[in-house]
Amino acid sequence: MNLRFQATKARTSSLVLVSPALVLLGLLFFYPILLLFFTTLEGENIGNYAQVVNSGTSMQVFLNTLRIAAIVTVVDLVLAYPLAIYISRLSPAGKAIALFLVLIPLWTSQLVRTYAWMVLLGRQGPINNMLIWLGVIDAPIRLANSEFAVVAGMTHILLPYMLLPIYNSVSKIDNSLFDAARGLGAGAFSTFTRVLVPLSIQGVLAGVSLVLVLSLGVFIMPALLGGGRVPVIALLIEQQAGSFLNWAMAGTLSAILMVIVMITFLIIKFATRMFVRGRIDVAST
Amino acid sequence: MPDLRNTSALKLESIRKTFGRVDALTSINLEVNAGEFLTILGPSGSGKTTLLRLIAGFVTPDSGRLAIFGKDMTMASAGKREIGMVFQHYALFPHLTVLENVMFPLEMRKHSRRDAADKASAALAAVRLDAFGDRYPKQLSGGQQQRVALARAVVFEPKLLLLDEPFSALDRRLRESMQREVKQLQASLNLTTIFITHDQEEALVMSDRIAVIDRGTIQQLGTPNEIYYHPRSITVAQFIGESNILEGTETPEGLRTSSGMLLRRASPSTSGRVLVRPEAIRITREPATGGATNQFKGKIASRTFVGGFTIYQVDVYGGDTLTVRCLADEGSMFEASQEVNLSIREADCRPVPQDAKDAGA
Ligand SMILES: Nc1ncnc2c1ncn2[C@@H]1O[C@H](COP(=O)(O)OP(=O)(O)OP(=O)(O)O)[C@@H](O)[C@H]1O
Ligand SMILES: [Mg+2]
Repeated sequence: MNLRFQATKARTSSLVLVSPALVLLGLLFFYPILLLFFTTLEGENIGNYAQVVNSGTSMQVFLNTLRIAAIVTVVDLVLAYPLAIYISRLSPAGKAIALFLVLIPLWTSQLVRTYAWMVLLGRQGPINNMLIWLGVIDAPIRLANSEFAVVAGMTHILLPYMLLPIYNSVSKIDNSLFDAARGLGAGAFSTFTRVLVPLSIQGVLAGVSLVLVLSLGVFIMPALLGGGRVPVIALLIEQQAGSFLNWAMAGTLSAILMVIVMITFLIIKFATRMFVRGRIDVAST
Repeated sequence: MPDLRNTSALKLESIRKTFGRVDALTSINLEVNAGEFLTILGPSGSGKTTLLRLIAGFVTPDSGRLAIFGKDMTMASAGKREIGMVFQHYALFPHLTVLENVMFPLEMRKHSRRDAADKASAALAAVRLDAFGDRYPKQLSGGQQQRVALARAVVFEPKLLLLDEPFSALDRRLRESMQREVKQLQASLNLTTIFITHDQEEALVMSDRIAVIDRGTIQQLGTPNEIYYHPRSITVAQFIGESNILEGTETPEGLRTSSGMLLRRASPSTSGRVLVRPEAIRITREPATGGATNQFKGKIASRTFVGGFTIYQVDVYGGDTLTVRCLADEGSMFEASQEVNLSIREADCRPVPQDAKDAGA
């Protein structure tokens, strides 16, 4: 009783604390979105939406965007999970250094990193030179201006968003649980699937939703590393707004993208709820 | 009592383990008999946990050999050793229910779900937790979590049961009932058990034999009686129970302390040290008649009432300060600075060998 009362009080007072942020968010974020939404309906009513849905190319681009986002998310997950486990086992000093290295990309401009990838993947770039030197290929191959380049660049940029939440939940797991599992007869695989995954699933799903959502809207990478060969929705929006000055269509595409992002987010939220159903505060062991 | 010449459940030969520059274990030799309850007793940092983790297979020795029921297991992985372990902080899986926790080792052994659930329920019933199968560990009290950990450790019929200071987080009353419970379970399953504690009373209460460990070496291995009455070193004597240790020079009549007290003993010795347990000293108002040959006069320096008995510090005239423990008797307690007579039987003045390290110095 008393506890619940305190909880309510705490909630009210924290609401007061975040209210300036809420006002700012409302003015600078929700208001423009609302404006944008009204633009899409101007004159045409829902005609713009019908046009997008009926246009084969637009739908193709949406699917392509989802596909690339899925690939990037899966690759990041496969890279980040073992890395997070590895970092969580390091000494305190090792952890600090490793996390610092992980964070460096976040402090570097996305543009700078994209140009770095263009250099790396260029015809005269180090990767091509290396492959030629190793005798894998005879002449430089096209690495940049391809979907491969876009996926590689996005994977790199978004890796910390996958790694940090996973690391956070993995490092909270009591190490004696792994000993207990091993001692009770679980092999490496069972220990992973029966102990590690269930106890870090919240971090994994948080990382997945972050990377998935962020990769749906990435613009710079497809623009600079895709060389016009990798159609994604962000490029289409830029084209409508920048080249054709068709603000209504750009807004329509944005609104659809936003709905897709929200649906993705809700699905993952729901999955999280399912995985931890009934579990008592799994994250804080 | 198990037959001591029967199979040895666990055999450790010259086990050594160092962590960097720390010698955690130096040449451990130990043989545990099947069905035996052995306690490893030692102060903090003496290497108890390291030894237990080494037996369980979480730590590999730098050198030496380890065999379980005659089979060399020095390099075997933890899962292959068929050892049940209760961790100090229980290590229950927080995402599994109590029943699922206990089913875990069975499922790892490919039991069917039905079979695993049946066996796990039976194990939970054995620790009186059958009604709690659907709860999560967080929803149980410390003692209940402890019993779940115990059920999980024995449900797959392991060859050995290891417990690392399992009761250190429990209050006194709960600890005593858990001690009984573990003892009963161990006896009913005839399970070879290795138990770690730094609580000497717990060790004396529970064990068939006790191994006293200090600085990575087993100082003495013996029954609780042997360890208590015939400690082989000062370290052991001081670690087990309260003790008065008197040093001096050997004379034909007995040991003469530097302060001038003469202690006659039942059997001659050359160790130069005598151990007198506080409860072996009789404290009386009048000089005792007959029996004891060692009689001293002294003055009460302090009195501590601990419920069942009373502990006095007594300054012996022209001698040492002795700790005396006697049954509490409300009618006849001695007051501070009161004059009293102490008497000690010859048989209760027990020689203590020099510690190995002292002998060298
Ligand atoms: N993983 C490790 N790395 C380095 N040193 C260790 C490690 N484990 C134990 N030690 C050292 O080995 C020695 C014995 O440690 P151990 O944990 O076995 O003692 P213990 O008898 O269990 O003590 P306690 O009663 O405090 O639990 C200690 O000096 C400890 O610092
Ligand atoms: Mg320990």
